[in-house]
Amino acid sequence: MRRRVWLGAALLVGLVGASAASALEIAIVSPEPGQPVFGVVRAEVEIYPWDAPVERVELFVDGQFVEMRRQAPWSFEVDVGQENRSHEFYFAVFDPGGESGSASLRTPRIRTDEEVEVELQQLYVTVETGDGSSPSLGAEDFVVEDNGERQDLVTFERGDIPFTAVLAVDASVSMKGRRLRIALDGARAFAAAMKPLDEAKLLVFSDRSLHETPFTSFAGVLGVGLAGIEAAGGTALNDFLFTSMIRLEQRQGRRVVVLLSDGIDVHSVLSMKNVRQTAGVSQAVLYWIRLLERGEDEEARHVSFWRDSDEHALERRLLRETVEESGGRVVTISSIEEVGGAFARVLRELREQYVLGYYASDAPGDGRWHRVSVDVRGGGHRVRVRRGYFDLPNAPGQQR
Amino acid sequence: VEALLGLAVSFERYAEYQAAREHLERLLEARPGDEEGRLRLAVNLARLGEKGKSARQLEELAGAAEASWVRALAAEERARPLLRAEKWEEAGAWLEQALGRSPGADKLYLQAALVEVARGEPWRAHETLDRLASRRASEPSVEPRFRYASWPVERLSAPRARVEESLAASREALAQALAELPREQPR
Repeated sequence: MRRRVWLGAALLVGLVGASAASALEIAIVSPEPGQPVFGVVRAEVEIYPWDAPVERVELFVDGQFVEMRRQAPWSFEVDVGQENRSHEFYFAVFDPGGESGSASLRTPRIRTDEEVEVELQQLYVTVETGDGSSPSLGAEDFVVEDNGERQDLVTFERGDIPFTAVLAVDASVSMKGRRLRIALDGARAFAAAMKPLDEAKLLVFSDRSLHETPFTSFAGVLGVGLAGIEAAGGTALNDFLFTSMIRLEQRQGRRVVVLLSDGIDVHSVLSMKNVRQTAGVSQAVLYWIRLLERGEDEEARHVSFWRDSDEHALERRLLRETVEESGGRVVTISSIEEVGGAFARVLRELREQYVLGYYASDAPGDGRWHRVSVDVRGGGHRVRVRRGYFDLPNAPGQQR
Repeated sequence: VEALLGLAVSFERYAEYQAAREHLERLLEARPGDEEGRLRLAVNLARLGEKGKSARQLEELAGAAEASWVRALAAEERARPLLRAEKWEEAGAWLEQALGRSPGADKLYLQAALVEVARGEPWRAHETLDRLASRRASEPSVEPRFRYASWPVERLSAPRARVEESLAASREALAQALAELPREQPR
């Protein structure tokens, strides 16, 4: 059933606005008010009286001209993308006398907590045999426990499950010149090898954000605007790992952060303890491509303006633990030339992950930490999976 | 005063917080209104465990400092121990107030977003970072934390130039005085 939105109603609900300088009446048929929109959307108006002469109708979405029609039906198809955001549809109608009328409608975004079925816990599991290969397993091979209680799997998948990734590249002054170029090439190669339903965002940071692309499945988009970026400043790793996780917060499905950095945070305002708390809430899997120059001691002591030596050591340890708790891992490389291979290894691992879904038998939404464990029957396997999650309550008004 | 600042910064760099404090206190005796000096003293007091005194000074600076970077950094540093102690409500109230006074301070947005995550409202954190991203696009600036950690070139360059000028002038006078000395016969 089609639903018409009339000018009078529009003024009442506040979602639809219209003006009618001419005698034309304009009714937005699609999209419907109050409905979030994604992907290809039909945008349609009806104009009254039916026999009124109409010279053309123009559609603008989010302030950008989309298309013009010179005859009915006044229907358009427009791709608004997959990002969860509000969109403004604006129709301009002109009669042959040059007079015009317009109607507009703003669609809402979906609140994150409404997007996912919170009771369904999804675990992204990497399994390796002794020689590092990924074995072929079935649902019956996995034993999942949530707070010590055995769980029944309700979903089981492997392989090309789409993911959304933030590729966070440290561009502090130590990455100056060729090193940054190679690092960015590695990130772009990662994006180029993604499948059509995968998406990524490139976030280049130092002590501040130097460049951030939108989420996209087109590797080319990640390359736009990189030419002018120069490595500069210090590193605020914690701040931008946090930012990466928050950026993923409104994305559905499998979420991944790939961080390329030497891991020495100097200028963050957030502590890794704070970031670790956020990682516990986020469902993102974290990978840290750790650039450790040849001969550099993994446990080298550092002092900076904002932290003494012990604090630096603690931050680095917590970063490693946070990554491992998320089900991801630290990929250590000893030369910038290895960056491309490291990104490729992370992508291969994502392709080979198992995705196990279950309804936790005891999840009242009380904010408690749930400890998760996954074993593979038969032994001899290395299993990596996030170590737990916070059972957060739903937002007011949401059904559990 | 500038030399004392330079020494304090050097001590801070090597985590010699007590020595930094002593130089900053001398600096403030000479110039009590020096905002950077007051900020650095407050930061170092916190590092030395004098948290109450530090918090009071940071609150004053966050509310009244003329330099926007000092105001922003004081607000961030005041919020940091609250976040570390997971005092989310107190931190949230402070950050809301601080963002009203320093809407250009990037790191305050991050701290506010952290509070929102801790309150179980990650979608609000996302919106807060959206606000930050739209602001950043129009106002690129030097990060106050980076500025704090950098050698205070601006402040040191003018006095250094004065010292060099005066040395140059002294050299001339010295050369003249030497030239006027009676020459001794070599033995």
